[in-house]
Amino acid sequence: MARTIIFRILGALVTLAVTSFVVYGALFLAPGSPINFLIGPHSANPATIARLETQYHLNDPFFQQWWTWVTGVLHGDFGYSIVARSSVSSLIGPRIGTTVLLIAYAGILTIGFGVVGGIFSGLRPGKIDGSVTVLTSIGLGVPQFVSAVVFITVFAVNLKWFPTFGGGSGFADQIYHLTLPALALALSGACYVSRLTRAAVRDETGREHVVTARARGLSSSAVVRRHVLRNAAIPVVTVSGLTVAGLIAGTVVVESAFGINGIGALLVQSVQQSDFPTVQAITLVMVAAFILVNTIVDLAYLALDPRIRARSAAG
Amino acid sequence: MSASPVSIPAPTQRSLRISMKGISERIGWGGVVAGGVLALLFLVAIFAPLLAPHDPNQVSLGEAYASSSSQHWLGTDATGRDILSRLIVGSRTALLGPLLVVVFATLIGTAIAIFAAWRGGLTDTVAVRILDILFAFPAILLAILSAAVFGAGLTAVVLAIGIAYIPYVARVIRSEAVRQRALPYITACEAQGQSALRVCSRHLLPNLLPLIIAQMTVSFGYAMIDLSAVSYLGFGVQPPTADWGEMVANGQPGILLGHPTEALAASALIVVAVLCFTVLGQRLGAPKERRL
Repeated sequence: MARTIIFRILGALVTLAVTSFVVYGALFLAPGSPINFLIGPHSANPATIARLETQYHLNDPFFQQWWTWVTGVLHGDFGYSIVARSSVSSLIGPRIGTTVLLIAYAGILTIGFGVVGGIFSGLRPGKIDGSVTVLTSIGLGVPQFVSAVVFITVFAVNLKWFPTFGGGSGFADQIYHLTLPALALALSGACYVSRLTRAAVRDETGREHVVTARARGLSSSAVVRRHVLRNAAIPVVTVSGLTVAGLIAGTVVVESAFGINGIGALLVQSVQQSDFPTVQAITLVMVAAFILVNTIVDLAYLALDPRIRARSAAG
Repeated sequence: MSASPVSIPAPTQRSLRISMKGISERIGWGGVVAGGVLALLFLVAIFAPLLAPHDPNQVSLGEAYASSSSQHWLGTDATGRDILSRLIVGSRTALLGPLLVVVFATLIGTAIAIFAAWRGGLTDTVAVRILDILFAFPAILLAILSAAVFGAGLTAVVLAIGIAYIPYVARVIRSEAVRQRALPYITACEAQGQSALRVCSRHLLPNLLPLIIAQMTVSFGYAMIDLSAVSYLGFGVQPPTADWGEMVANGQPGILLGHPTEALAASALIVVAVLCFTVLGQRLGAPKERRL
């Protein structure tokens, strides 16, 4: 068990190292010299050029440059943005809270709607199940920017229930502003979780131990609670976790669609303004968060399923 | 997201022979409808210049946000361009982009999968580890990073998303290839003294083909979601070229002004196309009782 956990964590660290390598190395794939690329269309005086050269250690060997950048990042130093004329961390810092709140909100919606919908349709075959299945197969194929645009049209412009734009200020107002974005972000993931939950519940209700429990005369709510849902929970937890991890990249699209001032929208803006240090920083933060959530889900899976625990203890 | 492995009957080359009746029985009426809609979309894309009633890039500022009329069935956009014509012509990039992604990812992913499954042992372990690392990069982030490096445009973005899709293809194909590798027909071919390349290309690959096709179809839908999102953000297909994702972005300001037709029509087409690809792919890939 301990060995498995250590291996998972080591694997995640290797993946993180390789991705940071790709994100940093992208600078050198760009046409032209790295320093010209970093300056891009912006005018830079010799002082800025010198600053960038020292900052990126462009005169060092490649591996050393990468190492300097990574250790800087680990100390919270993401470099200097030529466009904003400030440190990248001062750009990301105030915005990351909004993005985290959006992901958390959408994550709760994804798991809430997905699991409830899935259990509901899994336990009630027939018309309810059929209509939930049709709705989720459509929802599964709706890109996040499409749900954003449709929600803006219906709930913001036509019904005027929600604002069309911006992230709001103060907690309650933020939640109000982030409701439509969170729904748009959560829609396809919730449909996916719902279908998987349904399949898992369906799978368990047909199992022998459930039939036996029924035959022993247990009330149907006890059968569902103690025998069906407990076993179905394992795949559902895994898939929910992975789906929430997938929401991280979606914030780029949804924040842009709703004009929310988070790091997703900042990423798009930084690409448009050729602010490469900021692009690198946000990409790395998002990929790292994605890897972190995936690893936590992996470990949770180990902790949840006694069968796996027993197997790895035996092996 | 991944299709379940296909159960393949007697693994002979004959099973490759495709009969229309066999296919329609396998995919059911839903699959037939989905396939029909997709065939229609591809035909529209091929004959787009003939079908479009107007020049899709013909700007006419006097006619901005014109509503539906006999001249412009779906009205016009903010610069007076005919929406229907732009939707028709936009189907070309909307379908071509995902097609390139899927072909690229399938070629490389299948090659990796077969190579890893055939060699087994250390090669296989290393290949699986590399694929695991590739999984860490969400397609859309890789696409944005490449747009930042190489500039916005379809080529860089298609390549980036194609690379991000390799592990999804390779993982599914590899596990089926490993299973097939252990079957007697492969051993028989090897015992006859056929070269590894010949066994893989003449015997293993044809038996993997149904799974590969199913996987390509499902991936096509997901590639369409990712590519249209990138074009929506402005990093894929560049204006004024018509593209569904780009049209959603172009039409978004119109929503607030009470002219949602462009954004909603382009959105609807994307959803319908993606839905058809996933339905068809799932039905090609999994027999009815194993469907999610």
